[in-house]
Amino acid sequence: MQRDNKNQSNARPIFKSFGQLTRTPEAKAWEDDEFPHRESLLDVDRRDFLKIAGASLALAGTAGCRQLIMPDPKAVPFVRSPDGRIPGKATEFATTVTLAGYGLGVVVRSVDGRPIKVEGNPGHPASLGSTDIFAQADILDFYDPDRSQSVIHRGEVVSFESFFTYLDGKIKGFRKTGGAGLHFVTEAKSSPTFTRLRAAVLSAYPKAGWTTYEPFGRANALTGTATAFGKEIEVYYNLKGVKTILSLDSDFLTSMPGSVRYSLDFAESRRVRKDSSSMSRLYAIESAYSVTGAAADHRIAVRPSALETVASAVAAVVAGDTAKGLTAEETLFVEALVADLKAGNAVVIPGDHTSDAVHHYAAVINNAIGALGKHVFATAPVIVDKSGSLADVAKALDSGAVKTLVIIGGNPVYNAPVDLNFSDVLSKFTADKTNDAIRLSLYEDETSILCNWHLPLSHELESWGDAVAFDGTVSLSQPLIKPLYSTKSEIEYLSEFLGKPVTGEDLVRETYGAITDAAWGQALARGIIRQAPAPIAFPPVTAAPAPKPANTNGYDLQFRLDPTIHDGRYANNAWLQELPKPVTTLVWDNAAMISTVTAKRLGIIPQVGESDAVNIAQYKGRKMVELAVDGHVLKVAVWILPGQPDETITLALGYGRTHGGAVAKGRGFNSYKVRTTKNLYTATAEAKTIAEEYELVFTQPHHLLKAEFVETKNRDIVRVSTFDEYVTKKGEIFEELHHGVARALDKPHDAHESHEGEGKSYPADPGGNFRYAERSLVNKENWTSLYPEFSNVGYNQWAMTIDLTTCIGCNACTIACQAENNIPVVGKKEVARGREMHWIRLDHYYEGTDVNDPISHFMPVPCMQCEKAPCEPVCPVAATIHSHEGLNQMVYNRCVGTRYCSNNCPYKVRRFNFFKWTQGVGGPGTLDYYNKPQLKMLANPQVSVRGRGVMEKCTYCVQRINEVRIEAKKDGREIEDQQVRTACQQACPTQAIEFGDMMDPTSKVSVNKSQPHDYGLLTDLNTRPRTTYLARIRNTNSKLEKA
Amino acid sequence: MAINSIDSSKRTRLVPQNFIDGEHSYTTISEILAGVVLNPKPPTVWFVATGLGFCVLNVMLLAVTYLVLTGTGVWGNNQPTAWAWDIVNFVWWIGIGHAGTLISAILLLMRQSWRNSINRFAEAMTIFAVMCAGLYPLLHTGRPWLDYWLFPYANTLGMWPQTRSPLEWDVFAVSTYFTISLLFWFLGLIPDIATLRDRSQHPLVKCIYGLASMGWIGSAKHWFRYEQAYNILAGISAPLVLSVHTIVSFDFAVGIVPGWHTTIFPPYFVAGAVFAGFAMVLTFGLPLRSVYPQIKDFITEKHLDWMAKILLATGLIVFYGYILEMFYGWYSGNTYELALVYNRLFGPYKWFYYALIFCNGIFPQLCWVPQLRRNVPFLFVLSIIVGIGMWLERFVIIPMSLTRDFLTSSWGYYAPTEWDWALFIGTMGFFVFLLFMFIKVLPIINIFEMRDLLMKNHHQFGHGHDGHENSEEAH
Repeated sequence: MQRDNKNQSNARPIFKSFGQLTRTPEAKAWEDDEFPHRESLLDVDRRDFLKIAGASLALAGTAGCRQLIMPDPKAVPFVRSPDGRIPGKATEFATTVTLAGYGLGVVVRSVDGRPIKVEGNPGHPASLGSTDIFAQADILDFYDPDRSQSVIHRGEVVSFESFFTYLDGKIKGFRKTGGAGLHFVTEAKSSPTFTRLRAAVLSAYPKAGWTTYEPFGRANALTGTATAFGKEIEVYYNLKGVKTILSLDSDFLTSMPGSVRYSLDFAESRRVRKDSSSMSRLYAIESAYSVTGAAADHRIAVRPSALETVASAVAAVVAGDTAKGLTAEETLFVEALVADLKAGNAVVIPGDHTSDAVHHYAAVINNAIGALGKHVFATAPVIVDKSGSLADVAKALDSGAVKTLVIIGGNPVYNAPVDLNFSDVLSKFTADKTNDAIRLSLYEDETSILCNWHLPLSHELESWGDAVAFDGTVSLSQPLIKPLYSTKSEIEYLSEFLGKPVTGEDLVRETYGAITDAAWGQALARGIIRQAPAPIAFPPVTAAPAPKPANTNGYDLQFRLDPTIHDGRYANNAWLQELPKPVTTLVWDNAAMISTVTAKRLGIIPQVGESDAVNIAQYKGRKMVELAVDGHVLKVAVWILPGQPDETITLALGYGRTHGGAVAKGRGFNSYKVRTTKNLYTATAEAKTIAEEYELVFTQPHHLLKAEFVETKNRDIVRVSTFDEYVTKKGEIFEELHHGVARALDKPHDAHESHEGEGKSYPADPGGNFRYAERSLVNKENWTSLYPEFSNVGYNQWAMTIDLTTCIGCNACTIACQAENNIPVVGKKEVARGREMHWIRLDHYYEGTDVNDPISHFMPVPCMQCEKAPCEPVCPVAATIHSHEGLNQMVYNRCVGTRYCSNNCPYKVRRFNFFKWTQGVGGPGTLDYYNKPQLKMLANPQVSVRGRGVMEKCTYCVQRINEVRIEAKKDGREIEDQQVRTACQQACPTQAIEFGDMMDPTSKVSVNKSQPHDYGLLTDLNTRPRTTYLARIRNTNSKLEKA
Repeated sequence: MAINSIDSSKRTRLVPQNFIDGEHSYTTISEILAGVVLNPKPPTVWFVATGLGFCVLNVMLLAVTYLVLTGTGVWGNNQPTAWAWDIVNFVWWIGIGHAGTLISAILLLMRQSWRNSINRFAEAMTIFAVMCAGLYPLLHTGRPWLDYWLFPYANTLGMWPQTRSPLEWDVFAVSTYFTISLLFWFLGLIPDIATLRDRSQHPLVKCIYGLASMGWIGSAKHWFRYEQAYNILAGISAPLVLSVHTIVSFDFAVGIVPGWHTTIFPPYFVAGAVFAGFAMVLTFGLPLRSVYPQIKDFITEKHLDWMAKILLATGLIVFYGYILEMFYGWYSGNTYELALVYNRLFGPYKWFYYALIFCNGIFPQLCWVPQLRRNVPFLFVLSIIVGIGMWLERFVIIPMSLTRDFLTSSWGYYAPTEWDWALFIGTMGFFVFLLFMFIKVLPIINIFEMRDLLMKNHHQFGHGHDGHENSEEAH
C-alpha cells in the first residue's frame, strides 16, 4: 500500500479514508496490520474468557439435544448394542426399490450401519430372491457423490428453513384460495402413502391440479386394456407351467414390471435336465432386437408399423380365418405359432409400448386360447392417476393459469415430448417473478436448473416409503441409514405441503390404519405389508378393430428404453453406463440401430452383410445419420444390428443429458429431441447419412473384418442343440466333441461311489496320500496332466455351473459382481482401449447364415477356476495360487503385475489395473473411491479395493465362502448346499448359475455337472475348469426349421 | 575355393586370409586405434551423434518417469494384449546383443581371427543392448518398485520366487548374460587400457586408465594368465549365446497361446538373435568406418563379406522357421493353430506379416551375389531392413498372437501409444549415446589383437608380402 502511495506521489492524490490522507498514527498502524480490526484473545479479560469458555462447553452439550431442537429423530449410535450384533458383520433389512413406480422387494446387506449390497427378497413375488441390474445398481445411485445435497433457490444454496418459511406463506395463500394456481407434476408412483397424501393435498386445496408424467410407462397397456375390456386394468402374467409364449414386441424378460419374476418362471419352464420331457417354446415377433427376442426359439422381425398387421393375422388364424397381408415366411411362422398356441398352456404378451390395437389383439388371442385367468391376470392399475397430460400443463403454464408448479421427481424438461417445448415454457414461466416452480429431485438436473426452488430428495434406501408391485403386492421401504445429506423424501415434502410435517415412518404407518407394533415390525422384517389382492375377473373382450396398414414411406423410427440406463434416470450411474448393453455390448452411448439392408440403403456399407469397420484399431470412426421427424432433427451414430427389421431405426432413450451429474453429462444422443406427443413410441422418420463421425465403444468385437469370420465356426465355444434331439438321444449330444473317450458319467466313478452311505463326508484317503481322482466331474475325458494333483481331502471343492439354456443375457450377474467385489469403472476411453474390468462378462455370439435373422447365444464368463490353471505356473512371484478348495486365488499384495497370467489365460477373464482405476483416473464419471467420502462407504469392506498395477479376477466370492465357513466351523458342522451363494448366482433372475461343493454328490452343482449336456469351455486344453456350462437347448418347432 | 585345398593339419587357421589391409606396423596399429580415443578433437560427427543420443536418452528418462508415476496404462497394452511393445522391444534388444557374444566367444573358440577387428565394439553393443533390453522387463510390471520380488532373497515374508515361471528363468538368464558379457568385455580391454595409459598425456587421464588397467605391464606371466582367463570366460559365455535366447523364447513357448506354444522357438529365436545382432553390427560398423576412415584397414571388405554370409545363413534358418510355423499350423489341423495361420496371412495385421517375410526372408537372399556382399550402401540398407524385420517378427509373435486367441469374444486390437514410441526411441538414444561415449573412451578395435594378427600375418604370408593380395593367390 505504501508502494502504491509512492507510485501515486506524482500522480493525483487519491485517498480512501480521511486517515489515509491525514496520515495519523492510527491510520498508519491500521495500514500496517495484516488483519485490521481483529479481535485478540489478549483483549478479553479473565471474566469474559471464562464466560465464553463456559458457554462453549454448555452449548457443546446441546449438540446432543438434536432431537429437541430439530425435527430429526433418527439414527443415533447404539447406546446398548442389540443382541447378536457383531461389528463388521453384515445384517440384512428388507425394503423395496421402485422402477417407474413399480416395486421390487429387496433385501439390503448392511455392514456397520451402511448399506453395501442389494439382493432380492425371496418372499416378494416380483423378486423371489433375484434382482435386475437396476436394483443392483441402486446402491451406487444412493452413494452417488453427484446427488443433490442442498436446497437451491435461484442458483443460490439456501437453508431448508428459508424454504419452509416461504412455503408457510404460500400455504396460507393456498388455504385462502383453495389452491388455485397450484399444480403438481409427478413421475409414476404406486406408493399407497403417496396416493393418500396426494388425496389429502387435493382435498386441502381443491382447486389445485395434479398430473402424472412418465416418459415410457405402461400407459398404452392400460388404454389397450380399456379398448379390449372396456375398463383400465393392470394386466400381469403368470408363466408357471406355460408351454408356448408369444411375445408381441415385448421385452418381458428385462424391461417390464415383473420382469424379474417372469424371467424366473420362464426359466423354470425351460430347465432341461436328463429326464426332461417338456420344455416351453418362445416365439417372438419383434421390431427391435431385445433380450427376449434373443431368447426366443423362433423370432421374426417386423417393422413397428407392421406389428398390428401381424398381430391381427395371428388373431385371425387363431379364430380360424386366414392370415392377411403377410409374406410367405410370416404366414408360415404364424401358422406354426398358432398351432402351438391352440395346444393349450399358451400366452401372448404384448409390449408395453405397442399400440392399443396390439394390446387389443393380444387380449383377443389370450381369450381365444384360454389364457385369461390361467396365465394372464388382472389387478387394479398400479400407477395411480394418469389424469391430465403434460401438454395441458404446458398450456396452463403458458396461459398463466398455474402460478405455483411443483415437480416431484421425473425430469420433464429433459424427457417431455419435444413439441411441448417444455424447457422454453418453464423458463418463461419462472422468468415471471410472481410464479414459482418448485422441484424435488435426487439430482440437480435439466428441470431443476429451470425451477426457482430445487429441493433435494432422499434416496429410496434412506427413506420410508411403500410401493406396489406388478401384481398388486404392497411392500415397505425402510431407511437403511440416516439420509446422507439433509434431504427429505417425497412423502415428507408432501406432508409439509399440508402444513403439518410428520416423519416418514409415521406417514407410511398411518396409511395402514391401526396396525399393532408387532404386526408393523413383522411387515418391516418381511418387507411385505399386503399380499397381492385376488385377481380381478376379466370383463368380456370386445372385437378388435382392423389393423392400421404398415408404413410404406420413410423409415420407421421407434423409441425404446435403454437396456442399461432405462429412460435416463440411471444416466448418472457409472456401473450401468459401463455395463455392456445386451447383444451389441455397446457402452457409455446409445446409437441408432439399423439393419444391414438399411445400412446399405443409407450408403453406410457397400454391400449387404459387410462390416462397417474401417480401422483395425478398435474400428474408430462410426458413421452418423441425421434423423428428421416432423421438423425435429437429431444427429446420431448408427450401429448395424443383425436381426433388426429393415427400414427400421431403433433409438434408445436416456442419453444426451446436459445436467444431472458428471457421469450423465454429454454422453450419447438425446432421442427425446425427435420424440413428439403424437409419436411417443414410433414415428415415421427421414434419415440421411452425414459426413460426421462418432466413436462408439463396445466390449466385444462384433464388427470384424469380413475375412476374419471364416475360421471361427469350428470352435467349440457355445454348444447348442434342440430339445427334440436332446430327448431322442437322452441328452447324449455332442458326443463327437469328446474325442472318442467314453464319458465318465456312463459309469459312476470311484470318488463318488465312496460317498454312498456316508452322508456328507468326504472320500476316504486309502493310501494316506489321496490323489484327486483324475476322472472327475470336471475331467470327464479322464485326461492326465503333467501338473501335480493336489489333495482335496477334507475340503469343500467349489464349482459352478451356468445353464446356457436359461441364461437370458440380462447382465444382472455382471452388476451384482461389480457391487459385491468393488470393481472399478474405467470410462469410455479406456473401454475403447480394451481395459474394462468386469469379472464376469456376458459374451454374445450370433449363429446362422442369414445376417438378417441370426440366432443369439449368451455366455456368462467368469473365472473358470481351472484345476490345472494355466495362469498359475507362469506367475514369477506366486501371486496366483491354488487353494485346497479348488479356488484359483489371486494374492493382490504379492502381484507385481507382469500380466503373464492374463496372456496365458485361454478364457481371458483376468483384469489388470492399468491405472489407479479406484481413484477415478478413467475420466469424469468414473468412481474415485479414495477422494469421494461417499464412495468410500460404497466399497464392500469384505473385499480389497485393488490398487494400480495388480491383476484381479473372479474369486468365486471367496469372502462369502469364508463367512459361511466360519459360521459352520463355529457350529461344528459341514457347510450345507446353497449356504454359499455367489453374488452372480444370487442376482441371476433365471437362476442359471449354480454354485456349490462338487464333491457332495447331492449338491445342485454336482447334479448339474452330472447332466449329459454339461461341458467345460476349452477342455481340450486340459485346464479342467471348475466352472462348466450346460449346453444351450432350444425348443425349435420342426415346422419352422430352415433347410 | 581355397578352403578345399587346406591341409587338415592347419585347422587352426581355417581361413588364412589377411584381415588387415594396407601397410601396417605394430606402431601404426597402436597409433591409429589409440588415436581415435586420445585425439583431443573428435570429428564433428561424433559430437552430433553423441548430442543426438543424449537428447533422445532424455526422452527415455521422461518416458520412464511418466510410466512409473502413472501406470502401465500409458502404453497401448490392453486386455487380450497384455504384452506388446514392452516385450517386443525386450526381445529385440536382447537379440541384438547376441552378435557380440557370438563373435567374442564362439568365434574365438573356433579360432576365427577375423573376429578380432569387430569383437570389441560388438561386445560393447551387447552390453548396451542388454542394458536397453533389461529396462523393459523391469518397467513392464504394474508395480516396478516391487521388481526385486523376482530375485530370490531371504525375506520376512518367507516367500521365494515361483520357479516354474519362464519369467523367473529370464531373471537368471539375462542377469547372468549381462554379468558374463561385462566381465568378458572388461577382461579383453585390460591390455588395451594399458596401451592407452601408456600413450595418454594428461595426468588425470593417465591415472584413470592406470586404475582401469589393473596393473597390466604386459609381462609374459600376465599374458599367460590373460589368455587362460579369457578362454575360460569364452567357454562360459559360449553356451550363453544359446541359452539366453532359448530362455527368452520359453516365455512364449511355455505359454498356451496359439502362436506362442511352439517347440521350434528355441533354435529359431537363437538364429534370429544372431541374425539381428550381425545386422546391428553392420548398422553401426559401416557408419563407423566412414566416420573414422583410418579403421577401414582393420574392418575390411572381407569382414563385410563374412558378416553378410553369416546374415544370409542365419536368415535362412529364420526363414525356415517361418515356413515351418505355417506348416505346423496347417499340418496340426488344430482349429486354433489353423486360425493363427489364417490370421497371419489374412488378419488385420497381415501387412506386418508380409513385411516380415520380405525383410527377413526375401531381401537377405540378395547376399548370394558376391558383389553386393561388399557393397557398403547395400549392406547398410540390408542391416536396417533386417533390424526392422526382426522387430516385426517379435511383433507378429507377441501382440498379434494375443489379439486372436481361443475365445472369439475376447479378440481385441492393439495399437501403441506415443509413450510406447517414446520409450522405444528413447532406448535407441540411450544405446547410441553409450556407444559413442564408448568410442571416445575406449578403443573400438582390439589393439593388441590386431598387433597379434599382424604378427600372424607376417608368419603366414612372410615379410614384404603385399597386404592387398588375398589368400588364393598366396597359395
